[in-house]
Amino acid sequence: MRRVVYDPLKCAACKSCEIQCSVSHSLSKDLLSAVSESPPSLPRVAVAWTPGMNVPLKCAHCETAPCMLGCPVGAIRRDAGSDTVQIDDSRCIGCFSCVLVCPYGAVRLSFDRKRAYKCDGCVERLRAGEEPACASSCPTHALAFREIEEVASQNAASAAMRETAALLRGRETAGGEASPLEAILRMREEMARG
Amino acid sequence: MDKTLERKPYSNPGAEELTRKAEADDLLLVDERLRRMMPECAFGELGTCCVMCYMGPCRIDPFGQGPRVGVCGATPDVIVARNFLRAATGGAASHAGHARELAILLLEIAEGKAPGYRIREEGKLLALAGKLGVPVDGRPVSAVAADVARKALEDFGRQDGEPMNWIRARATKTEYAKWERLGLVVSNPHNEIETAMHRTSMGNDADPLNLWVATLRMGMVDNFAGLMLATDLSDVIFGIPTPKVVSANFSVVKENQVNIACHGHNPILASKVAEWADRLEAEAKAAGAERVNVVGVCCIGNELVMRYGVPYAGHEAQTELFLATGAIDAMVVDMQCIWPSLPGIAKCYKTRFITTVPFVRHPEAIHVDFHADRADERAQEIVRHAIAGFRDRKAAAVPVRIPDVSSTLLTGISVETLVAVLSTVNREDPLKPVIDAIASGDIAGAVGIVGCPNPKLRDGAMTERMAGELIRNNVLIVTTGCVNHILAQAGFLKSDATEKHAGPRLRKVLTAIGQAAGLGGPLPPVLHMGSCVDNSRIYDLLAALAGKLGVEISQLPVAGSAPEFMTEKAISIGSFFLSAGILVHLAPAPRVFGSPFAVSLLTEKLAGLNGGKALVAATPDGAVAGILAHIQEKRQALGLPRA
Ligand code: SF4
Ligand code: SF4
Ligand code: SF4
Ligand code: SF4
Repeated sequence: MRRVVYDPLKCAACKSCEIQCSVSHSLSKDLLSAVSESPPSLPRVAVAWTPGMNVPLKCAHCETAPCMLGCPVGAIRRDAGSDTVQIDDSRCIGCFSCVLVCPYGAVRLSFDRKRAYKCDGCVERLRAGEEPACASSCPTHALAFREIEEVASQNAASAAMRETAALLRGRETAGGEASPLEAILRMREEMARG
Repeated sequence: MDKTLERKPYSNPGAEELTRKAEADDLLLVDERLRRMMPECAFGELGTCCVMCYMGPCRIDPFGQGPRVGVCGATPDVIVARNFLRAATGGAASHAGHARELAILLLEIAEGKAPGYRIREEGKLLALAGKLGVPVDGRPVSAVAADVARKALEDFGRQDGEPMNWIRARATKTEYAKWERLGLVVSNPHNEIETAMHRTSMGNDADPLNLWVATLRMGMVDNFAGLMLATDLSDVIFGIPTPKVVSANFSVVKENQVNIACHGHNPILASKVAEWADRLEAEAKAAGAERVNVVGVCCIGNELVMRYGVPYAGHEAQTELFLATGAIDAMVVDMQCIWPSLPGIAKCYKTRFITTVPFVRHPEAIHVDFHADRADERAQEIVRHAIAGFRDRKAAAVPVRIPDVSSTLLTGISVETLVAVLSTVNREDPLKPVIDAIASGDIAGAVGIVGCPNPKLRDGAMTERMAGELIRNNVLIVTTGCVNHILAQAGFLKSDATEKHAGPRLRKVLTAIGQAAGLGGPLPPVLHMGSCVDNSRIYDLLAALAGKLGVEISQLPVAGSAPEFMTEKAISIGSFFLSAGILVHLAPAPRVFGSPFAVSLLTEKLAGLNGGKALVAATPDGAVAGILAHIQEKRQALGLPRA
């Protein structure tokens, strides 16, 4: 099962993913024309921020999707072929229950505030044999389209390494060899603390 | 040549061969670096990324949900205009710096402080002096030269707000009046550059229109304080280019010779290196080489080929490949377009990479500080480095691979040359045959294809396809800058290109001129007018044509195109052509699309003010369609038949 997975430690907040998501959901599919389309094409991924971390948030296409369970009119369905959670625009009544229950904050209000919209998993691109736009545009691979099982085992291994390193360093954060990005993130953390 | 290489139409088989060699040698070349960079940051592409203060970086969400103004409140229109003006300033500063060096050199020659150089073109000097109001009668040439140089240097230091000497001397009356009306006549390039940097720094100009006017003024700086001054003075010192047929492409490098690749822009250094290459032949022979072979890459290639017929190697995006041949013994550079990747690649092949300008250095390069007063000494030192490099190469048995691809080009088409060629057709009125051909529609119009190659557009052979299509439609092409290397390598700069590619009406005219001039074939459909600073020659030619017709340049059925531009210099040159009221085609897209104001100004409103207009098209078909439509429109407005 492939999913767009994210690694917040790598996200540089350049927002290429947002731009490319918008472009790939625009009518023209071309940046220079897309910016003048009306209504504008909206990104379905958003780089959220907390001191010390950038988190590119989007729909995780959950197996037991709270939005789907919460939708009173059954406008949200799972598309079996692509294994993605889809909002049927024509049935959405704009109650925004899905917005309230989505743990990722991945569902948003459309421009006219009459419908909900969210990441559609780039089904069109998947059918064309391409990767989701956000994952393929992320220069640091903070977002990547990968096998979820593989990610799970890798994450477990790296968590173990982190724990061990932290124990050895006496729970100090990394010193001299911090990447520039880590340094910036740490600075932001300090700033937020005041 | 490796016969297994599959060829795309127009692709240079030598470039492909060397790319594969470099891959095998484990080098990371431009195409791969570009691939790894993609996609490039969209905020940058739209021009809406501002890093001018440290409250930022600020980025404007083009889709309208995120930030719509910077922390300081700057709108996307302001941010785009400021960024664009800074780019134009970078370009104009480069050209002004190039020109100022030549003005200083001319003064040094006149004062006897640059013994390695002399004035080769007294006629042009005296004509220039006449236009600048420098007295010439009965005075020694050196005194006139000193005064001309001082007139140039006065422009760089002028604080009285009066128009630049060079604009007064070199602009036609019609164009001058127009620029005065539009507030585009500049006084001092350095002041304009200073003001541009000042007004775009944190918290100054926030009026997009005012900023765009400043960009047009920067275009004026670029042309008159940069291009035109540089071309004028280069011609005086190094000679007016004359026609010659020269060989081009990878095979100009010779395995058993000491190969020196000159790279950069200003002929001051390279002309001396070329001279000493011949004078030190005996030393090269003693080292076991046949001779010293100087080849020109990038715009110095254009400078050297136009005046001295030095072999015309390749363009800026091929410099890495020339190093990868393994046969370059020294690459000597002055300024502009010198990629930081080069010294590392040079090292792999025992090539000596030599920098010569204090502000163009690299930790892995050999630095030879080049000054006009000790030019001969320094040039010898450089050539000797190359001879020693040859010894190293042979001793280490560096594997050499020089693709067996070659081409020729007709070069040296200055305005003076063109007039001389045309006067073989009509002695009294040389421009008349061209004007008549344009009037009848045998020549539909003319397009200046200029600028650099950009690896982003090389795959599609943007330049070659555009040139082929325009010629087929009876449009004459003049070119300057690095795209020339592309067109020369693809065979567009020789007689048989007229037979192969030109539309029947254009072929007829070029054949007639070629025969009258005794070329033994038609004039090529693409005329090589020089390096990027020689865009001034294109402007001069247009001014002469417009003058003869009694119209403004903006009324002519002509256009400029930088089909693969990559430097800020192309931005400033383009800005000048917009000031002059000419259609300017640009690809890739300039960084203005984040600003609705900029887009409407450049593609619509400016045309109503002075005729200038930007055309953005990233495909050859789109570009050609836009240019042809423009040419027909201009023809119609002049009452000429459709062509
Ligand atoms: S997820 Fe990727 S594209 Fe998005 S901000 Fe991070 S690095 Fe940039
Ligand atoms: S807002 Fe639309 S999608 Fe969300 S729960 Fe209501 S009907 Fe369903
Ligand atoms: S998967 Fe596609 S729709 Fe979903 S956030 Fe990424 S780009 Fe947008
Ligand atoms: S000048 Fe204004 S727009 Fe630019 S970085 Fe500073 S706050 Fe942002």
